[in-house]
Order: sequence, then structure tokens, then C-alpha cells
Amino acid sequence: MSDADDLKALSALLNGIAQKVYYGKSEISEELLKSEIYPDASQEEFHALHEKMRGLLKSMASADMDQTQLEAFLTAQTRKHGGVSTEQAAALARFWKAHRARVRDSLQTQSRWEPGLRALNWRVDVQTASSRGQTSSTPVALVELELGRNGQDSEFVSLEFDELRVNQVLKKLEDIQKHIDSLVHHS
Amino acid sequence: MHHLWSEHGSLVQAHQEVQAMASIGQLVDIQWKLGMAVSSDTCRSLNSPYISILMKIADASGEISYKSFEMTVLQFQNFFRQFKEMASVMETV
Repeated sequence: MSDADDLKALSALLNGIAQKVYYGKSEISEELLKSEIYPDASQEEFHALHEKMRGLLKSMASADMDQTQLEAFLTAQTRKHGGVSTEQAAALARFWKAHRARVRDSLQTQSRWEPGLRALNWRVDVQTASSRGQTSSTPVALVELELGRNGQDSEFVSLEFDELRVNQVLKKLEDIQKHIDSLVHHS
Repeated sequence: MHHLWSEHGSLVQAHQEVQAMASIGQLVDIQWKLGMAVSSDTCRSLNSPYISILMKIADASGEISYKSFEMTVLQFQNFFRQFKEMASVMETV
């Protein structure tokens, strides 16, 4: 393969690894990557390359490396025995620049094990009641929460609120917002 | 006749019966926790704030159940906004 082809293949490999490890494409296997990208390489050669790249991405993702850290890291890799070539380092840098935010997002999502809030739907109904010809109307809020853990089916929770309850909830939410604000200002 | 519409299609209905759906609960209590995920085995510096909510729910028969869930700050802000809208719609009824 020419150098350009080498780097193209490497980029494809990095992409494939990211798809599997960070973007949830569990159907991607090492064998698939080899057959698609490096069909002519030997089993051992490919495995070594795959493992090396996987390890490098893992280090970069774990530290959420910024530009400075990345440069230092990759430079060190080009200098050590069994590291990477300068062209490979450049390919890794390009890849990381494009994928860093998405990988970070993915790691944060993967670290959430409680059910997440997938959707919130609501409507307000008006209950009318009459007593001796007088009608009163009371608003009732019907709320549907869609909850779910990563990769699992949603659970729907239906709740109803009168105005008092909605305002009680609002008070708590205001409290949370205050704490979020002070968290942001102290960090 | 009042017609109130929110962007979520809130309806005005004459509701003669009491809430009949057994699957609709009442929120008895709500507890919250503001946390920060610092690091995990896959990411040394997560720095990810989250809001954890625990709801105590009573069904029509009075039986209590608990549901918990987590939100990112952005999701929380949407949640907050929705409840504010709900309150303002209810106020105008």
C-alpha cells in the first residue's frame, strides 16, 4: 500500500474502533474491521495494530486530551520503541480533533446508569363541576414521563397535578436551579 | 368556552368523571440531588454534573411506589421550563 493508502486505512480503523467502543455499534468486530480495511495483512499484524490503536484512543479518551496534552502524548509515542510513526501520529491527531466532543459525550452517557428522562409530555385539562347551578373549573395537569436506561425500553410514568402540586414542584425546581447556578459560579 | 392552547396541544375538556385511569398517579413527594460525576473507569475526568430525582407516587388506591431518574443540566432546564409553562397555563384557566 502507498503511504496515502496506509493513512486512509488507519483513519478507517480508528473510525471503526470508535464506532464500536464509543458509539455503540456492537456489531463491529475486529474480524470485520480486518476484512474491510486490511484484508491482506496477517492476523497477528492486524491484531497488534488494532490493539495499539485501541489503547491509544483509550488513553486519549480517558484524559479527554486537549490540544497541548495530545501533542505531548503523540510526540512521546513517536519517540518510543514500538510507538507510532509521525504520519500515524498526524492521523491520530486529525481523528481526535474531529471526534473528541462526541467521544466525551458518549463516555458521559455511558456513565449514567440510572434511568434518564427521554421525554416529557403534558397537557392541562379543565374539570368542571356544578353544584346547585354554579360551575367551577379546576385545571388538572396530566404529565407523562418517558424514562429509560441506555439501550433499554422506555417506561412511561403518568402523573396528574393540581395547581397547588405544580407550584410545589416548581419551588423545588427553583431550588435546584439556584444550586446549579452556584455550582457553576464556584467551579 | 375557553380555548387554551400550548405548544404541546393542551386541551380544554369537560371532565365529568373523576380521574378513572388506574395508571395515573399523584406525586406525593419529590426529592432531588445535584451530583457531579468526577471520573469513571473509562474516563478519568468526566466532570459531568447531573440532577437525580426521586419521586414518591401514590396510585388511585393509595399504594406508594418510587421512581427515580437522572437528568443532565440541559434536560433539567427543559424540565423546569415545561413546569413553568404548565403553571402559567393553569393560572389562566
